[in-house]
Amino acid sequence: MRIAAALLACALVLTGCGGSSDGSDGGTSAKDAVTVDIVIKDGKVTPQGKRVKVEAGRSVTLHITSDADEEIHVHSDPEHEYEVKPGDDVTESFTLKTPGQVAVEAHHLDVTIVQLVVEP
Amino acid sequence: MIATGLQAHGLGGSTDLPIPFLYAMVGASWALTISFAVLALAWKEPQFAAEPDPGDLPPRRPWLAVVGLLLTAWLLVALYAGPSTAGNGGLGGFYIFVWVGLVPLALVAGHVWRDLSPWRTIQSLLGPGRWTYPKRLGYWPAVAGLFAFVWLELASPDPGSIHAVRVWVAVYVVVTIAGGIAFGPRWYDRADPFDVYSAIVAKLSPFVRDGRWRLHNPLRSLPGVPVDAGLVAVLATLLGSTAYDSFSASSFWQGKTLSTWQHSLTLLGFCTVVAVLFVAAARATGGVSAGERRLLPGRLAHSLVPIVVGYIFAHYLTYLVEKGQAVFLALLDPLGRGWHPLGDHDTAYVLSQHTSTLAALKVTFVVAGHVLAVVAAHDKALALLPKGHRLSGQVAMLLLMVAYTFTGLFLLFSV
Repeated sequence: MRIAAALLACALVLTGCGGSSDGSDGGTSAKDAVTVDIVIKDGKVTPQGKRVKVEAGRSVTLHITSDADEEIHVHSDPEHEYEVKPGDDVTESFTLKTPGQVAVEAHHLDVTIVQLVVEP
Repeated sequence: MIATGLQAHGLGGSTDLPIPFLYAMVGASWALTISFAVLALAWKEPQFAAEPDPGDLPPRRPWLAVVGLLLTAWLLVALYAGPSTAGNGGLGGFYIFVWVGLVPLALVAGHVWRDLSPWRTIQSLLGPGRWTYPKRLGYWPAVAGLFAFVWLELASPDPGSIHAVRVWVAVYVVVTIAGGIAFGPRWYDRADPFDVYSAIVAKLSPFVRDGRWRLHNPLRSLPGVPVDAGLVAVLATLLGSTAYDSFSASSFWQGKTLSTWQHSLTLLGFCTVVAVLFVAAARATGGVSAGERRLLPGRLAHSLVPIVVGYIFAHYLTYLVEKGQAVFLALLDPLGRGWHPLGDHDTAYVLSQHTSTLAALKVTFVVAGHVLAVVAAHDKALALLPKGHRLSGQVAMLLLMVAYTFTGLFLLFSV
């Protein structure tokens, strides 16, 4: 019985840890149209690996400034691809209809810029 | 060259939303409660361990062998003669229908892979092997093959590259045919990664037993997973790699820029940790000799199968059901000539559109797998452990299974 109590305590601690780390650290409200600012500079992309919440059917805008050739892929269905060149400052918009997580990737640098968390 | 290495599981497209916290909590509570209920309240004498060994399996069914040859030829034509793009039907078919489809196929129809396998058919036409398969190799060649696959899918520089998949499949085909010529059918029972994977999952099928349709309690057939060297490593590779797949999509991991080596070693680390913990937990009992203790991990390995299958279902369900649709249509046009025999269809997002149902399904798979695993381990422990250690000898394994399941739920909730 003492073992069981100890285990239960462990489990509570474990699940407690789970509770404290919210899976989404985007912090953006999903209600409005979302704009993501992407800066490609000196071989680095900002942000990298960030979560951004989006409501399904709302417009998403990527505002990209770059100092290099880069290909931005939005892994949704259908896919979106945007090519940027050094000195570019471009704005691209699209909507995501299906709930899920859609990665926006910089293919030359091989990193995930943001993960769009599309909520119903 | 365009790198596409970050695409989930080698194919593009969206991934699942995290499951809500409440679902993960409910799943975890159920898993924990049922685990201790099994330990404290379930039967005290083994129920399933004394099952007789199955006799020889029935011969392979020729019509299925023909179907297998046709399907393989179709897939290979699509892969090698089709378009060299990410939309190649052979590429998607390999990642989705071969790798993921294998699991539900084995659960529903048993180890039908054995009948379908074109490599077994080719081997049977070439006569028996030249040498006896070395006993000490056990499942290790299959472990190497499975790891090579999960490496290609999850840690290689470019999993979505048609070129990489063409090279992988070519090497696999050559090795698999050569293995059959050298060692006969035994090669496929122990060394072919897909055949071994299917054979193990099939033991969990409630519909097929010993190669023929027969409704039964899967807990009775599960202990029949053939124990051999490397069995724990097979299961650890499957479970560890699926966990790595979830983990590598986390914000934490995506925020880092890492080399292929770092990805590969982390993948290996996940598989190794799963294996080492399992071996340690299986051995953690009193009252057995050193020799018996060494055999315990293998003898308990079958109990890991339901956890693997439950987690893989939770992880890959939308992938199979939703991405499978586009791949199926692509396979109907293997040469990329614009054939649309069934017309143009958009993917029906039958699961993604119903987020709550999907989350509930995922938790159900994980918890159901966990419960089956705990019951299977409990029953086997009763048969293996001496009387005085039957309860205490199970505690480490039970704890580990709870830890596996909590980790799985945590990954489903946080990534």
